[in-house]
Amino acid sequence: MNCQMMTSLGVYVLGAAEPAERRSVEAHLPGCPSCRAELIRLAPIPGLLASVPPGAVRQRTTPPVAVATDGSSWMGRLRSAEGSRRARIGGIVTALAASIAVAVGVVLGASSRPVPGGHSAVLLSGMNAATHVRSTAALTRSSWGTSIRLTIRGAPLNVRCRLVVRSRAGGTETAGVWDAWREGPITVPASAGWRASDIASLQVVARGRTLVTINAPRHARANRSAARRL
Amino acid sequence: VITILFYQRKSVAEVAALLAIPEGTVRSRCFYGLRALRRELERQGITGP
Repeated sequence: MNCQMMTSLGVYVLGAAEPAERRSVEAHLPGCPSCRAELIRLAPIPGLLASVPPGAVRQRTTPPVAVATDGSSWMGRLRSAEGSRRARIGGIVTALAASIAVAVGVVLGASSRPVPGGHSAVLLSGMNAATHVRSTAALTRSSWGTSIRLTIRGAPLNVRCRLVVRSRAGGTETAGVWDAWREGPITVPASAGWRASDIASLQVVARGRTLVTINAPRHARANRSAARRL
Repeated sequence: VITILFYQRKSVAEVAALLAIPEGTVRSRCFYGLRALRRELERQGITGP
């Protein structure tokens, strides 16, 4: 660790950074080679996490000897395990990695995947006949705006892609940055500071060129059953 | 921290309140957790989904 901005990269790459933090990370990245290098190393992790059914992670990462304080929530159990947390972290990381290993073997190529949390999502899609890139975006409301789960097919390999979100009021935000790490469909998390109904379009941009544009009709409706078909 | 941030789509502030830890700790645990996860996955030979 040689830069104080680096710890923000974790929440940034997970799509959990709030807009102000995301902007400060993006303003910082061009001038900091060590943060850029770290971001590239972390870039595949969200896609790997997305390939794990959340239930599998929860089961495997709950420390078995931790006693529940409230008898119900797994987070309560994690909290109560705080005292001996450090001794367990290695085990939790190994378990999460194991969940990913299982999911990569089992889920890879599956066409049906629930949106994490099961919240109703606005589903949008777009394709570009010239670039042969197709993309689907599931927009879910979050406390800071909108969580976006973008699935993209046909993007060039190992090229830095950005998701640019445009609001109906004319603003733009970079909602996510990733490298296309394999040729098949990849799923990346992103987030925007606007509500889903205020989003006009999403564009995937690489090397200054728009790979695909997803337009959001004004009356796109949340659809729980459609979200299941994603 | 990682699972709550990612799978439950909570914000940094929400995770901090939930776990009763400072927001800076949420960020650093998330970052070092992802790093540890990457090392473990590389050890297993997994580099992409």
